[in-house]
Amino acid sequence: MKWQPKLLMALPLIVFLMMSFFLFKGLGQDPQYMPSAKVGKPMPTFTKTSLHDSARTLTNQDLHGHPYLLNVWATWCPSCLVEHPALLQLAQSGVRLIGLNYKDNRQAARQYLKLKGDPFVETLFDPEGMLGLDLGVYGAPETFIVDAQGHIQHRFVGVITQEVWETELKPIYDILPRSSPGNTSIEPPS
Amino acid sequence: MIKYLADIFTVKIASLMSVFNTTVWVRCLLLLWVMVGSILAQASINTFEFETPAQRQQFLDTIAELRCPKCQNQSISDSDAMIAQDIKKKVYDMFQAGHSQADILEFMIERYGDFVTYRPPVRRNTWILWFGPPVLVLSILGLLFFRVVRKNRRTTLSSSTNMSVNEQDFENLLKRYEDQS
Repeated sequence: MKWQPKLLMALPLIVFLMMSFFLFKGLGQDPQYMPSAKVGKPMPTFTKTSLHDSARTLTNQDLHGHPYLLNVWATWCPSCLVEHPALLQLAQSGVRLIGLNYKDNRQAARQYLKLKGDPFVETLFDPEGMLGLDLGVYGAPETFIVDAQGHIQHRFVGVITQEVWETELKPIYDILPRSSPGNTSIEPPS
Repeated sequence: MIKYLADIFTVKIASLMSVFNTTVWVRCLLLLWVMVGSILAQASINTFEFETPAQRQQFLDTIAELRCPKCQNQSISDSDAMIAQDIKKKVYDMFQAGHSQADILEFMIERYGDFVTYRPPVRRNTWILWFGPPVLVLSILGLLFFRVVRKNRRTTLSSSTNMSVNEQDFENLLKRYEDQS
């Protein structure tokens, strides 16, 4: 009984090398990363009230016409507080920010913006989190880049910092056409 | 509410027992009451109500099929994360509205991607997931089969041509065996 030694003896080594390769590749990956199912798709249809005025309803039409950043935030979310100064800075530099107040209390959220400053040209109030669900949101903060036609171009999960903005988001936001022929009721801050 | 009533009764019985002589069966009754109370209290946590046990089972099956996007090693049914509660509620609402399980899974995949199901659809980019393992097993079996066939052929070949050597070996072995015994 004589085995063919070469291939068989090399087998453990081959298996080891393959495992090392995949494990090493796994090291560099963010296990929390999930590809978004919504990138490239239109913004889901919604009818929400404005956070600041419960009598005012906002729909997709109100946001179309200019690209914007849709920022999902809440007062119960500590990371949102961390990212807030960066958002204020973005708003100051002329980026059009729309807030999506996610599963929150209207009074608390308004108080929060009054205290910390309001970077949003408009904030949608989504207490049930159903617009969040339609967007595939699973936590806060999350930020979507939406173009002037209302298509989602990018999704970012986590805290926006100046660095994240410069390296990941700005390059996408900047190449979007500034406006589309469609009319809009909410102008970008100038 | 039920738990509250159960607590009141438990206290009442306990105070009654301190007045009367406590016998073993009264203690048993008390224990039983406490157990029933705790079961009722647990039942009241579950807010989803169904008309038939089959509907309930379908709901439970569906939320076990969905993976929690926030807490990635748990299913929606296992998780208490906020998003898991929302998804459970949405699944419940959709069932109540008459949607099928397939509809609901499709709805969730549309929003959270293939990641959200434990059974991703068979598509070009999931082929390796579905067909990889059987192909691997089959190819290993095939390789083994091929080797065995080849070896059998070689041993029959060698035994016919090198008979003298084998006979020599055999005789050597015999001799060694005889020496030892």
